[in-house]
Amino acid sequence: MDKVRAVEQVTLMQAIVKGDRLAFEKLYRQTSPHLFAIALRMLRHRPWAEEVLHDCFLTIWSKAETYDPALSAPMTWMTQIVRHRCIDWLRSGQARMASTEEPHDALLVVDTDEPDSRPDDAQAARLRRCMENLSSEQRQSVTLAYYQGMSHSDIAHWLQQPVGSVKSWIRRAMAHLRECVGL
Amino acid sequence: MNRQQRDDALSAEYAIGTLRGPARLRFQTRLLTEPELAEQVAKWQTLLAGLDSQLIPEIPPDRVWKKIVLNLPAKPSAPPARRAALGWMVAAAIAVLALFSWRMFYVPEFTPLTVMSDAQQHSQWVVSADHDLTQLRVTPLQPVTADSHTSLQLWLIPTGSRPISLGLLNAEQATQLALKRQDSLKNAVVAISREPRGGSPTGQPTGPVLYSGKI
Repeated sequence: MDKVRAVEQVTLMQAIVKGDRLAFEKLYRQTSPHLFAIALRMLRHRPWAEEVLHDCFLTIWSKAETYDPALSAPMTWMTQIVRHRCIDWLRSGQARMASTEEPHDALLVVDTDEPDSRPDDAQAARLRRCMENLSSEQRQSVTLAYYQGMSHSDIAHWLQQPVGSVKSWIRRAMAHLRECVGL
Repeated sequence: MNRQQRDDALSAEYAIGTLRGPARLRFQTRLLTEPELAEQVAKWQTLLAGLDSQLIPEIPPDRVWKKIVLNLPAKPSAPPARRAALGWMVAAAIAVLALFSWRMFYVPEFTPLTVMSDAQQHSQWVVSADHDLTQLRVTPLQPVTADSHTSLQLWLIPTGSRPISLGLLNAEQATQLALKRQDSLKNAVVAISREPRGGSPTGQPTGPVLYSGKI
């Protein structure tokens, strides 16, 4: 993500801690399209994604003081809030009852052809290259967990493989990514 | 696996989202007090954020922002604990005062019957009834944080009997509910429990009791 943007968003977060509603609206305008896309990707149901986005922005407003700019960019912090909320939503009975759709196959492939449009995406580009080194099971497990919010057992069920294998694929994949990207 | 390796594995699982249930809650509690762990998690999150870099942003419909604005609470300027406690005491005092002045000076359509409080005495609901005891009105004194997965359900518990559902409550404003003739309010307890969205599936409370009061 654009570093200048990130710095601007840190300033907005600090204003939000003091109760600045205009700063909050600005942050919403800047970040909600990305966060909404994340929620849509995980939930695949627009009304749910809208509700999750609504809840998450109320959380962002009330928990802004817990954000630490030394640790991560505001977008990363907010992404985590949205992802965990989506995971909780998927675990709830309502989502399970309605969930008949299967994971989107297109999302299982990490697209590497697209040129990197933003200069700050160097690390993201490196990550995508590192993803290519993974075995197909490792890559699938990581993408199902991250993009679809699946648990170890969901992935095991989906891939028709033992849970233990899925756990070790993800563990090894994460270790490789860390080393390869240089965390 | 030593402790550091275990924490490292937990951090990675938390960031990718496979850490679930009580394990995730325990880990989240640790994050509040263990800065090194928080740093580790942040590193993983930053790394994984790269997986979102090619996501095509989508502007959410306008109604989402409108609803956020409607539900946005006022932000207290981080009061110290004692001031917060004082705030609640003042709120409780106002509630009691309001209850009594209401009783003394008005002949209202609805007469307050009792105040339901939570265990910490942090928030209250006023329960009032009309003259004929056919309608009940339940009003939160502080808006209660609404959770989209759950509903607040009001129960009447007559002495020595099982709870009777009186209906679901609006977390932000007064809810008016019809009382049946056989619903005896005398010495009864009223309580609010948190239930799955749409109300208890069993007809009896299934979730925690959040507020209660005796009539």
